[in-house]
Amino acid sequence: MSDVSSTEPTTRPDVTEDDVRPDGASDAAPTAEQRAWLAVLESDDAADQPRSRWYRLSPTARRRLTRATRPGYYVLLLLGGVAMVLPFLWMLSTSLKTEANVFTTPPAWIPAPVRWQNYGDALGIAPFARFFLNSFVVAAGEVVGGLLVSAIAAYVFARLHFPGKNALFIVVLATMMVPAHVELIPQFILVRELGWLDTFAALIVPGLFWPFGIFMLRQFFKSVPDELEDAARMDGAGYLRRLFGLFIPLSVPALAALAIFKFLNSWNQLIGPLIFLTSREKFTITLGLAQFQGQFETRWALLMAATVVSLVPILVVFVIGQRYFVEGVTLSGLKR
Amino acid sequence: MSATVTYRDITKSYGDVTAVRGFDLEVADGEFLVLVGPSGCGKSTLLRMTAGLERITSGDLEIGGRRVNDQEAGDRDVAMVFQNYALYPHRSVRGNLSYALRLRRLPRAVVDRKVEAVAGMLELSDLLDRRPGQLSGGQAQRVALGRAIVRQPAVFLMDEPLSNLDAKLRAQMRTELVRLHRTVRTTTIYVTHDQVEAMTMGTRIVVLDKGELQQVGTPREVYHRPANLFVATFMGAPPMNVIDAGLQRVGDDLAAVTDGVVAPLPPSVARAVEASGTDRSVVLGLRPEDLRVDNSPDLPRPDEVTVVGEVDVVELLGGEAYLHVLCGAQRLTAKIPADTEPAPGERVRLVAPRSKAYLFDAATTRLLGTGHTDPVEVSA
Amino acid sequence: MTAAAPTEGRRRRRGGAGYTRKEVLVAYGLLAVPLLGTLLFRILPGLGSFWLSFTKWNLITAPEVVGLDNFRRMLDDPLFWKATLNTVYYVGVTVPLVVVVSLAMALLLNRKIRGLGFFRTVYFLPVVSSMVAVAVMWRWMLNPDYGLVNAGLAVLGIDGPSWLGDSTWAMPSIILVSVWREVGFYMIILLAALQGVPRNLLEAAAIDGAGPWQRFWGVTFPMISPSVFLVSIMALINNFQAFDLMYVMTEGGPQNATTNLVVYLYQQGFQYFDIGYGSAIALVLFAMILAVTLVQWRVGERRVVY
Repeated sequence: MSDVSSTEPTTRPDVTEDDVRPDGASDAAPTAEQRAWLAVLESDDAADQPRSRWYRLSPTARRRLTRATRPGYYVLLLLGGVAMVLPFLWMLSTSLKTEANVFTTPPAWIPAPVRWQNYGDALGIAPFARFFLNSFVVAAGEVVGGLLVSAIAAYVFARLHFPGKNALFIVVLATMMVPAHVELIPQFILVRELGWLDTFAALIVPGLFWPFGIFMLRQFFKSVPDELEDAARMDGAGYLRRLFGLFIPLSVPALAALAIFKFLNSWNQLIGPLIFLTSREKFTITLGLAQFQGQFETRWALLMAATVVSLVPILVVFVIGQRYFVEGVTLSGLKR
Repeated sequence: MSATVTYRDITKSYGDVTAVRGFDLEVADGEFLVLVGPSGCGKSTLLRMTAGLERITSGDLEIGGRRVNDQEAGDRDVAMVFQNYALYPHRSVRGNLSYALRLRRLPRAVVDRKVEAVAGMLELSDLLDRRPGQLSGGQAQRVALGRAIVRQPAVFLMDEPLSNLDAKLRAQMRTELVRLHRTVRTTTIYVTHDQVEAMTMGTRIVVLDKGELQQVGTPREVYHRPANLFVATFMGAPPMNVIDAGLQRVGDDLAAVTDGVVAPLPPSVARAVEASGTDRSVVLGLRPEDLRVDNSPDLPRPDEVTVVGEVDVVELLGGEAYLHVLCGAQRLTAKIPADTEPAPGERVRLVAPRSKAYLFDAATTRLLGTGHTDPVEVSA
Repeated sequence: MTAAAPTEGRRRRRGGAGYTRKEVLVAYGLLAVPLLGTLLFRILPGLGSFWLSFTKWNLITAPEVVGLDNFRRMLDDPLFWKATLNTVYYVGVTVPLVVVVSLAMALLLNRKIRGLGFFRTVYFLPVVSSMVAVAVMWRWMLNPDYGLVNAGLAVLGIDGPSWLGDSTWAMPSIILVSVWREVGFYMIILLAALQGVPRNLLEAAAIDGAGPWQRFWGVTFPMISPSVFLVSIMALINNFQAFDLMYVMTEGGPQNATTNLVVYLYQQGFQYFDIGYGSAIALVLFAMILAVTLVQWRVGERRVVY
């Protein structure tokens, strides 16, 4: 009885040409040319020289090195993280100290006693609530308006056919290349002529025209499959209906990332408000904080409290929309 | 210098999941060993453990008689060909081929000569200054091969290198690879999910399923004497017909019987079955190519397996046809020459020489016996 | 709007320059506002800056064309040269520092470390905070007597200087704060690039015998070079235009130690209302940015691998 070839390992000392390779076994023989090349390859058998410094070390040394450096990476990361957070913590700590405790050497971390009143006092020195509102109005205007304008322009550039499209787009793109500060003085003069000095319009309106937003959304709109738009067209949707009913809903992630970007830019902006706003009630939070620094004199605790207050909205938005932030950054990084 | 590879009780687990379990194998020097199995069977994991890209949970791996479990990939003197080639996109073909050699600080002249030799072997001499992005799929694949060959390692490891090629190119490259192996004669461990590649390229095949070795043997052995049901149904296309049956005594002989199927067992198989106990339920295996149509009204012959049923679907493949037959509750496929096929709905009688039947233990799925390696019976 | 499917379909099938009148009208109609706005608030000011630099104007009396006077004045203006020097100093130190540190941080974060999301949040905090808040925060940190920085140095036995009050240390302080603030942003970009390096490539290099350092320079760095290049250019353009930090922390002082060209431009244009001179400075700044970017582009194009 023949035995069944089972799961025991079999050792085969020879490999003969007779072994089953039924598929064209004859034309799988090495060519003379190949044998010649092989001879060349094997003739130059130089001894294995010592390789990289890494491999010159013994395996045990290597293992020890790897193991030793691994905690080092964590340490570095942690140090970096600490460095990032420390100033915030220090600011927070100071904001809760009494004025006397602020000026101790060496400085103490935990405020004792904790003075929540600082926040109330800080808000009394300058109308921060008003500043917030102003910042919010400007930011909201820029975001909503900017996205709307950009979406419309992006849609036209991405989906419509008309003469001069490419030339116009290049012009729009070119404006991205010009640094903002070059346009500053003439913008100021323009705003003055329009009578918009010391109004929010001066901040919002120029912000509506955002080449970056147009560029990004155009990319996105272009990537929508033609069939979807054709289907919408056959259902009887006109241009605007398609934009608002199809493209915009499809681009929500991109819009969210852009919205956060724009919000951030607008909220944190200094030079715009600095140049265009003159009356205190209109100050945004950034301008307010910058200009009112002097009012706090040496009352660092209050100043820190004010700064914390100015940061809270943005940090809240960030923590909630973190994913979109990161997406937005990587989007802008990869699309170039 | 080519070397042997030995696996001793190799196991790989990721937490609760075991990818490879108790793998034992000795690979001879110069062998072309194919690891084949469905996805998730652990073949790639084994290959990567051999390369040093994955840690071995337990067991011993030896290359050239030396234990290499703790050695890093760069120390093991192995070369790997990846499924997506993994060519360095920022280096020219020449740069790709020479990288490993330059890392070893070999003299420039030696490096150049080796690179040219390999380029000549693989017909890449005109492409040396191109970048990978400028190469076709087949060319890139050859560069990946060349990168491995130029190092003259102890073992070649290949991870489904032909999967990314179109069917025609794949067939060509299969021959190419076999030819290269015969030229260079280095031990090669080749992973694929394609059993055609396994059958046509390997000196030995290892069939794996769910991390366990199912069978190791030459292609002929694995095909004609599968160790269990898994191997039997995995190898061969269309797959082997699998029929649940019971044992019955017919006079002095033993037969596997079920609705519409009578399979007298050759003496050797009968003895094997009796030795393991005749009260077993068995599984009868019949390969589609062993079945032929025989609509004579004769009674079943004692040297033939007879199957009676109704034709369900006929697939015409040019010179051949696949006949799908309903037989009681079972479905069978037969591969028959075209232009002889009956029509759907007709009643048909299929026969096969009884030596071509396989008998498996229903409980353990192991092969009980087959007449395949018996001397051919002369039909009366 | 009603559909005009048949007409549009016909246009598309013709392919090429077959425009439908309706679509062209709609396009220009919709683009009217964006284009006009861009023209008015971007293009015109850009060109205006150019023209204004050849004038002398204080916004009260009429502008007076004076040709190249502003530029000639620049050549003799010591403050202009100081501002230029400060700009070069600031950019020349900050940009390489930012690129290297953010790459290092990205490399650290790229190892499969638990809490990746946490670290990313932490590193991003400075980026989302307003420059003003950052400036105020750090003014306190750098306070010579009670600030955390000098307190920390005191522990090491070092007597820290008056960071923002000392003309030697003012700019380095600004650079430090700048780097602290920007690193998180570029780190994210580089991290994404690092994660895009195919794992197989590094495995192939390992099998070929490359050690960790060699794998980095031989495989990883070439593969992320487009992003490194991008980050360098972004950092360059951004830092040439730095303003907020200098204005809020030191107002350009002490003794103009932190006055860069943007601060100078602001002073001349919006404090002294010397419109012409301010515009001229803006133009020079623009030319500088352009020149440096072009040079970097040229250098980078050759070395970057795609």
